[in-house]
Amino acid sequence: MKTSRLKLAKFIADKSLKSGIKKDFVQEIAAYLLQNRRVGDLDSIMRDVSADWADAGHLEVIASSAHTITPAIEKQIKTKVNQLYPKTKQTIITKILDPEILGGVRLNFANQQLDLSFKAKINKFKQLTMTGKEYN
Amino acid sequence: MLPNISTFGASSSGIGALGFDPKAFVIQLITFILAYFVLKRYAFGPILKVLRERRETIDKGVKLGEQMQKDKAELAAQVETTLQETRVKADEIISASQDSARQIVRAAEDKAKIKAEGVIKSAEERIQQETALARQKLEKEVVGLIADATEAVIGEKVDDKKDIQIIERTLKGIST
Repeated sequence: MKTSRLKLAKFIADKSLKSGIKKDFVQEIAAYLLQNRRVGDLDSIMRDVSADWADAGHLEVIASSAHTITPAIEKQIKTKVNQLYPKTKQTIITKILDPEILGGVRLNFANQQLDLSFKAKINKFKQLTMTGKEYN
Repeated sequence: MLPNISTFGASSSGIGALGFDPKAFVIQLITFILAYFVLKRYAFGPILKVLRERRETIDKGVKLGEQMQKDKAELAAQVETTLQETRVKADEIISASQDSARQIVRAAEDKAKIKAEGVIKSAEERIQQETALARQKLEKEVVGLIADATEAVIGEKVDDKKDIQIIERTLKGIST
């Protein structure tokens, strides 16, 4: 019987929080996913793992930006995240350089996304214009 | 007692001198009378009968001819009357056919008019639909162009410093 995604994510989160993220453990998870043809579930599983980590007080934030994020910005991001998640014990910011977003920043964390990028605004403009609503 | 006829004939004087022979006359008279009776009995009757029959036949023929002329005249009159009636009926039929044909043509014209109006209406609706589609497509393209232009401008104008400033401003603006 197939293990549910949430159970699998809980297992990974618990194991990694207890023992940390080890190479062998990662390989085991990868092998399991391959064997059970669940490689497509990887993104969803990692989101659930992030949520479990956040519940446990360890919040990972993936910050995508078009230009390199300065330490000052990193600090501001941490401050904001701690305001959003007061129970957070540890905030880990993973920085990704993505010129596609043009400018601003996109924050992905714990099953949520805060998209402050120019790309998102332009897409919103397109969407609202096509549906005939005014863009404020 | 007959007079002495021979004396009359033999005489060279009196009536004899004229060449009249009484004897011969009497014989001829008797012969004539006999002939007359014989003819009357055997000839006159049949001849008269034939003549009468012929006359009757001729009379019949004349009457028949007259009757035929009369009948011919009556028939001609009847034919004329019938012809007139037939002409009148034919005129009526033609007139009715023309009316019927006019009605059919009128009905066909009305039908064609309705169909044409339907076709025009469908065409107008289609034009409107296609115009709306074209407008939507154009709007989409314009929006796409604006977005592309905006992206291009942002790519050109927004450098590291400006981007950091914008991020700082945005993060400050997030209400918690």
